[in-house]
Order: sequence, then C-alpha cells, then structure tokens
Amino acid sequence: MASAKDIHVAPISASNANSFMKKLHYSGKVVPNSQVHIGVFWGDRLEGVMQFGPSLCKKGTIQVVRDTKWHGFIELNRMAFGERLPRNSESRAISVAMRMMRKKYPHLEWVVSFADGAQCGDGTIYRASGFVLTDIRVSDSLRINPDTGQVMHAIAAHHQKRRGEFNKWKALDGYQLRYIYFLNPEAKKRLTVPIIPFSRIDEMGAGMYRGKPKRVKQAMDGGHPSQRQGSTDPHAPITLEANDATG
Amino acid sequence: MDREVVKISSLKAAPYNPRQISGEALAGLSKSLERWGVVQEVVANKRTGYIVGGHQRVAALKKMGVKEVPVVWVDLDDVEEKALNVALNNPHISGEFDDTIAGLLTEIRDGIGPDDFESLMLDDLLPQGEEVTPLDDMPDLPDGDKEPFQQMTFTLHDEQAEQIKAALQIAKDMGAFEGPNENSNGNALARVCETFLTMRA
Repeated sequence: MASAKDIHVAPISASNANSFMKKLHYSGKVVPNSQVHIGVFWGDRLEGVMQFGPSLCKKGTIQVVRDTKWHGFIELNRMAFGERLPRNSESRAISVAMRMMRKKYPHLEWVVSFADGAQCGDGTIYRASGFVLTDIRVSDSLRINPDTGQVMHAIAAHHQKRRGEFNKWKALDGYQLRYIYFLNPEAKKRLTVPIIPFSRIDEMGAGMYRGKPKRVKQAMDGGHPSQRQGSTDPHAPITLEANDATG
Repeated sequence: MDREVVKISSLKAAPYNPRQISGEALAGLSKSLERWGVVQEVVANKRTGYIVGGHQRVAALKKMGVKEVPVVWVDLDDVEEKALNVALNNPHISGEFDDTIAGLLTEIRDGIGPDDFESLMLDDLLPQGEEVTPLDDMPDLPDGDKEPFQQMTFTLHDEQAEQIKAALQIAKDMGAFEGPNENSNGNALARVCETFLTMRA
C-alpha cells in the first residue's frame, strides 16, 4: 500500500514550481515574489509543490509575533498537491519542508499561511500539520466582477488601479483563516494574538468546503481524501481574473 | 455460443498465453472480484479446453478458493483461438480514458474510501506528474532586520510635480549630501523638508 512516508521532498526551480502551480492550483496563478520552491515527489514525478515568499502584507503580519525581525518570517503562499500522492502526504510534506526550512534558514522563526474559505477551504491540512489558528475574519478581499462573473483579489485590483470599481463589487461569501507554524517554538510565546481553538471555526460557522459552508460534522472530521484538489483545500469552480494573494 | 457454470479446476490455461500479471496487479484484481463478483464470463474453447479470455481472473479466483465460474464456450480452430486470445486484450481496440477520468476517480475515491480505492489500484489511473530534477540546495534568503531605507509614493498634479522637481534641483545645487542614503532625489527631498521644518520652528 502506498505510504506518505515514501514521498520525497526537495527544492525545485521556480519555473518548475510555477508550471506545476498554474496547472493544479485553483487560482491557476502564481505569486511572483515567491522565493523558495519545494517539490513533493512520488517516484520520479513531481506531484506537489509548496511556494514560500515574503508576506504581501508584511508590515501588518509581522506584528502578530512581537519582536520578529523583518526577515524573521515567511509566508507559505501557494500549495498544491496532485491526486496521485498517498494519503496524508500533505501533512508529511509540510513536516519535511518545515524541517528543511528550519535547517537552511535558522533566522526564520515562523511561517504564516492563509486558508481562503471564499474559494477554497478552511485549512484542514494546516490543522493536521501543526499550524495554530490565529485569526478568522470575514473575507472581503475577493469580489466578483458583475460584468464578467470573474473573481478578483483586492491586491490585483490595487495593482491594476481598479480599486474604485472593485469596491463596488459584491464580495464572495466566506472567511479567511490565518494559520501560523512556529519554526522556533520559543517565538510562540511572543504571539500578540490569542491562539484560536479549531472548534471555533464551526462555532462561528466559518467551516468552508469548496467555497461553501460545511455541515458541522464534516468540518472537523479531518478526512483528507477530498481535501486535495490541487490546493490546501478543495476549491470552488471559479476562475480568477488576476493574481490573488492568498493560497 | 454455449454458456454454463463449470468447475474452475476443469479450465486449462493456454500454454501460449502472452499475458502476464504482477503479484500486485493480481491482488488488485482479486479485490475487484471480491467486491463485484465475476461479472464477466470466462471465455474458453470447447475444442481444446483452453481459456481464451480470463486467465488472470481464473488465477485470482483459484487463489480465492472459488470452485465454480461462469464460462462462455467458443468453438474455434487453433489459429482463431489464438487470435481471439490476443484480440480480447488488444488495447488498440478498447478505447482510452479522456480527461474526465480524474474527476470521476475523485468522486469514486470519496465514495468508496481511500483504502478500497488503492486496493483496487484505481489510484494508478490518476493523472501523473511530470519528471522534474530537484535542485541540490535551497536559495539563500535575506537575514536580520529591514534595511533602514524605504520608498514612498505620492500622487501629484502635473503642476505640483513640476514644483517639486524644481525644488529638488535647488536642493541638489546647494551642495553634496552626507549620510548613508545614496539616492540623490531622496536626499534632496529631505533637505527641502528640513528647510521647511526649520522655517516653521
């Protein structure tokens, strides 16, 4: 029986990572400033990719952990896994990747990532991988262009100087959840926000599955089989109009 | 063609049968037979008693301890028997999966569960990633704190922009700048602001 222990995790080039991500990530887009690209191999085939880079809202995010140096944290800004990987490969791959990050970059204290409930899911894989939940907020950063039906992220609207019209569009229903993984466990003591129990996701009705609210029973069952779909969680069938910022 | 249920021990494997199966694949076939039973009859030739189609199923069923199996009998000479043996397994006349198989497989996996999905070897039908050569090492990343420099952006009317350009030029003409910043416009703007603030004090 295939086992997650048999996967191989190794750095790959940006071009290989981007090519993979464009095919498998629900957005079909990559984050241009990603710096570290880690591949997940099954046999000799690339079946998963994680991309890390500076947080797009660095000034705000850095304050979540007091006394973090400017280059002391990084964002896991894209993650996609192919269907061929054995069960639990996602959490195994994250675990190995975090060990690699800790060894190569001892100055990095923590990794932040966002689960985008409006289009994706509520972060099942993060919860299974040792991340802590630090924020649940109604997401208004993804909005639908009423003329085209396509979805745009606020940052893309800003870069395209379309913020005015963007602000008039209807936001996608859903929550954005912020997860943090501590490479340096000591840094956890410097969190400036409380750690939110995972059960709070359901209490708030923030459990999301394929961009739609989950039934409570599904929300915390930790079942992985349908949680892949080329992303941290399954995605809603929506195409993005431009680069978005969350994974 | 005659159909009947026969003792599995009465069926003979064709000695020329060119089809082979790995132990792993045979296990997958056994799981399939356990799950759905024998939904396709074994094809056998009444003239020779040889199996024409279904060698692997018969092997799996024997391992499972099954005693009887449904058979459809054909009546063929030696060459026709061999031709049918190959034709029944010819991949070039059996079609192929299109891209919708991935979605279907996901639905099946969610429905029957990952254990059964894998034991039936349906996971081998999932789309395969590309061959990629990993890098030897990860790239270096910047360390420590932010450099003490930053960029600021303003929106200006054309007339305001001209004023600022003129002011910056005057500031530059006042003499060389000192300090760690090597950006002349930044230094000039700081000098303008310093002068303004001094005037206001």
